[in-house]
Amino acid sequence: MDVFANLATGFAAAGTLQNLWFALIGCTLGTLIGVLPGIGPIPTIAILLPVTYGLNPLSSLVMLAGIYYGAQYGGSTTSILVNMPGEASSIVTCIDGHQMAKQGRAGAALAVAALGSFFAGCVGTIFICAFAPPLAALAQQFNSPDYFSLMVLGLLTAVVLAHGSVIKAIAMIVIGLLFGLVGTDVNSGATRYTFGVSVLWDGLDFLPMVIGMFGVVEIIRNLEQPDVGRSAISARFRDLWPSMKDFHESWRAVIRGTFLGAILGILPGGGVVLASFAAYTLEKKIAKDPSRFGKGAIEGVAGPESANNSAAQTSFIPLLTLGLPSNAIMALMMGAMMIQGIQPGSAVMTSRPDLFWGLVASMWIGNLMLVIINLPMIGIWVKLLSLPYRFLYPAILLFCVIGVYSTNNNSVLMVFTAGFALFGYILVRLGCEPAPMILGFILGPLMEENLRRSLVLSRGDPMIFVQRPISAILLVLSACVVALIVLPALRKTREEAFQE
Amino acid sequence: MRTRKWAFGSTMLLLAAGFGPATLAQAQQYPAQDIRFICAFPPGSGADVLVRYFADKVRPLTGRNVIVENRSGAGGNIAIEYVSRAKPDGYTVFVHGASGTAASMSLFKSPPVDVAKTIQVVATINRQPFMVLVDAKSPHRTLADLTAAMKPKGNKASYATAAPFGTVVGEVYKLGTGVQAVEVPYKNAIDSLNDQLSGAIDYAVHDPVYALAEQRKGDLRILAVSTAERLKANPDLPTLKELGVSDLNMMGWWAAMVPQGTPKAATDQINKWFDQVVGSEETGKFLASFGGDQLTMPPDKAQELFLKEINNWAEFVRIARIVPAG
Repeated sequence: MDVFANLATGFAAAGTLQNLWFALIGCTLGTLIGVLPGIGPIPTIAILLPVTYGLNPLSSLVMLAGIYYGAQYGGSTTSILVNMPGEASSIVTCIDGHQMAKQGRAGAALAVAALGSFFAGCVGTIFICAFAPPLAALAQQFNSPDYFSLMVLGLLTAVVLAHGSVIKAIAMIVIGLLFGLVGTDVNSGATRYTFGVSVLWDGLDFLPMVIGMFGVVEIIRNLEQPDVGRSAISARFRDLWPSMKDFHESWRAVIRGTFLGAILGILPGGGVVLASFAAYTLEKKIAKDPSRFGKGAIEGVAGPESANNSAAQTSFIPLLTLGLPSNAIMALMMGAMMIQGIQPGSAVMTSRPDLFWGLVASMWIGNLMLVIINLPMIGIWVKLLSLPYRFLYPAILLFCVIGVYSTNNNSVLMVFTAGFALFGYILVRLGCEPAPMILGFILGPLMEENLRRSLVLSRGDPMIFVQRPISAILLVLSACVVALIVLPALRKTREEAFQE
Repeated sequence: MRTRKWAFGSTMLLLAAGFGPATLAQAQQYPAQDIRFICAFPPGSGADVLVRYFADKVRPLTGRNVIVENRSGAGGNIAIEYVSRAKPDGYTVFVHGASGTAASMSLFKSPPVDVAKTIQVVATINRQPFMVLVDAKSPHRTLADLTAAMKPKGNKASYATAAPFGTVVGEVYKLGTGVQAVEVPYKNAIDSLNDQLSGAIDYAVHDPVYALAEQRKGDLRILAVSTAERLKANPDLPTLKELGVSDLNMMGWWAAMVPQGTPKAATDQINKWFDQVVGSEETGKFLASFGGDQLTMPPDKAQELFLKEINNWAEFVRIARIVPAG
């Protein structure tokens, strides 16, 4: 079996002492930021991007990926014990998880969350093994028109799956597209929106944008809230093992959540938050007695916690095969790869099999590490919650500043960071999610480039987009997505789904 | 408090005593401090790998630390401007394409500095061509085959480029043969691979690193190089000149450059270091992996070549009808 040979390559690459070490750093950091409310994986990865310059590509990806799925574990801990989601993807876990804790079943909730996450992580890894190679093979058939249509589909799906108002999501994507236009045009060599500033010739820098809009804004938002004391429900280690009844009630939910999450993770615009919300809704819908939900139903913990973890895993698939980041985190991972001189896409699997399979293998190793980090050491993580923000935030801010400056030794980037922080804060106050904007910013230039290139190739004939079968299929799918947005009946369903 | 005051005072004394001789020694003994190599590309890029290779090799020769500083952006202009304004003391060395530095004068509408007046080449590193590529499955075995097939297609033919250098070579090829193919620009050479393998693109003009990698993989075939002379690294590849396409020598070459006005003692020393490193067998192999040959020459010859290259690029840009950016 090819898959096993590939996985062997992967485990050999990921199993080196250095990579294990970085997997451990990533998972520990991920758990840490997952536990701490106020700082999530997006700002953490953004802040750590500059640090990865000095690492080899695999180590840096292993660490960054570890932060992402590690945060999914850590986030559940605080949701259950403190009723405070460390992560957006753990918001739903609060509902039943904290109720369980109040009823003295904190240990069972934590264990089911961790074991469900571990199961989901393993299945997610298998998903990547199974789906990535055929998708990568397909990607090698992609020409410029196909890429354009793929970006169209990606951006439209992002609108449908975005949290909150459709209009705002569209507006954010368009703003992202506009920011993406800044810089030198590939086709004509003309510079656009640069105002004679040479720093802008290569376009707006990604790092000041994400660090400003996610890192700094997160800090401001948290400072707005009073630093109230947090009290946790304590959980003793010996209570951790769930009872047979708990197992019996939750295993189906784990499997359902895992598969739902795996599918939602692959979709552009999807990701962990959507996966956990969808899994909770699903569990509530199919439960024999939905009234148990909100009062400590273990399925309400098992489903979403499994879903967010498998989604974290499978959201790597489009990035590693098509070069298409499906959410803001993946856009950051794409940035991390490009910093290392690796163009994400189907070529990664053929030209750098050690990198691709090493990353996949490291996810499995990382998931195992996370169970160990999270379950026995739960007391330590909960203690961290008493860390005062007045120490935490200046340190994070300092990291942000050093990170941005060190990328190019250019102080102008600081000004950009501050500007984006202000802009990001205004967006947050207006209730606009910045994540679709990042997707628009990343995909916009690629989309434009491929659109114009296709038209050069066809000598101006737009029929090129429907003559190629791949492109035609993607455009038909895009049309369906537009229908989803426009049709009132379907729109209502979407709104209901998000209300849950 | 008392101790600190004492320490401060004695430091001042030491400084005062040592001041005269230290400056003298500095003038005689280069290098008296750490040296910075400026790289015009971001960390991790192919160019960064090259700069860091030379930093590692030059470091032991200097007896000082050599630090690589990345100042990327605006097609190298940010670094060019930075180096032009740096103190000409021999501690800021710009390791970059001298051809690219020369080209920047013509590729941009308003270049921030006049590199002929601000930058001085002290040592050369390599010379490398751009390459004409076709699909390895195509029937075109020679450039003449390609030309014969492209001519009847007129402007239905297409070719890929991903850098101004490629645009120039592509245009020169068309002028020399009467081919009328349409240029399709890409951001990176690799982006053009799928389009080329599916037949949407007939041929491509790309950098040697990409070209050699794709030829090794068996995807593409190299038909010609843009330098006037064949390369030692790939002696079997014919040049556009010998194929009768053009007399121009379109060559990328890397060099160590300093701000003008740097003392001769420093420039001679830098030249010596680079000649020693460039001349080694290890460096020969390293540079061959980038598709180029070692290139060494005395500083005055290198500067002469640089000034000539500024004019060459004005001509190239005119031939290729590139609209200056900015």
